[in-house]
Amino acid sequence: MTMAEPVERTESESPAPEAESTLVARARRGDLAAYDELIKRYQERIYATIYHMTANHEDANDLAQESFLKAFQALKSFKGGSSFYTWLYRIAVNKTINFLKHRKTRTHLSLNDLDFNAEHDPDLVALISEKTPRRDAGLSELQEKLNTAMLKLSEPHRLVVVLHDVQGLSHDEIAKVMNCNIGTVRSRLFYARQQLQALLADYLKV
Amino acid sequence: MNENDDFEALKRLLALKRHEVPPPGYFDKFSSRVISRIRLREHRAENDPAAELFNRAPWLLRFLQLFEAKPAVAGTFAAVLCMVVAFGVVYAERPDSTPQPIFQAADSSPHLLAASEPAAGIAPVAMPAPDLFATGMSNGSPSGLEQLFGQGANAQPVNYTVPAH
Repeated sequence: MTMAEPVERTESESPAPEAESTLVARARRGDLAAYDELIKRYQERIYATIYHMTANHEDANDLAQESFLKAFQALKSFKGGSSFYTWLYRIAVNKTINFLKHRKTRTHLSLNDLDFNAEHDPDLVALISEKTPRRDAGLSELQEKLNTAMLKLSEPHRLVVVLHDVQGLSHDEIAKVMNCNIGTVRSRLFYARQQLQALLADYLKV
Repeated sequence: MNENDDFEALKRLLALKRHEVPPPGYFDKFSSRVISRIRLREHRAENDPAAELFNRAPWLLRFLQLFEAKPAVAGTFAAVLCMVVAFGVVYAERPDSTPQPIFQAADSSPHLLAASEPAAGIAPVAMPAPDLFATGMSNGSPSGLEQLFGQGANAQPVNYTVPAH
């Protein structure tokens, strides 16, 4: 699987709303085949969001599964006021934030490997070229420093960075997921970026 | 504020996160694992009423888990429960305020029964005063009986002597 370039997605670009609403209606009646299809549609984005928030693959795996389980149980209460995708995101995000609040004392990194494309990403190559001649070691080090710095942000600030700068969600979508207004999203994003820039100052000299 | 210029290098660094991927084949079985867990949960719910209860009321499970996690909360809850029970027992055993004689109210207002809440479609009928029975029967005066059975009532007082052995 390759994580594509972040593209600003809007709700109008989400896949076939009729098909999604049909699947949701079938899943509400207990049709597990329909729910399986919904899981396949959103599993990567839900997993990635949780993984980037926790920096731990095992935790992300558990939380992603729990989120889909919880969503299935709560499908009857889904009124359709927002898209299923936004609703599902909200469940995953709330579950993750709750988990992180209880995990405060334990911050164990369990990072996923970088894919093959990372070594050939010109932006990343430019960032590490001055630090070390060994690209592999440089990328791994950079990955660890970046994740450690992100874990120092508060959960709401980290979430905004993950959803916008990593996942590519629009401000509007993030506001719906986080149940706040767009101004709050913008200010949190600015503050979080400022903090990250200060924490990673040594790695941002270009 | 031009955020694109200020944070361009940071955004390029954050791009590294998009290259972090789970082990190969991880997503191939993800949905089937979730579906299996849903089926397992449904199966358990069918066979275990307690699981079904917790499934329908997850707050109850969280409440009980809170007791396991924090024994002090369980102690406090038990103490409050005992106090409520003790208060309930004391309150239940406390005598009521001044007892009301049942017939006193009727004597003082003999027309109360007739006046209050007449049945639908039935005209209220005034009840005779209790003194009609008391005075009329005790001294043998026919006035009370006449009032009861009308003017033409042919009632006579009876003298009866108990024979001595």
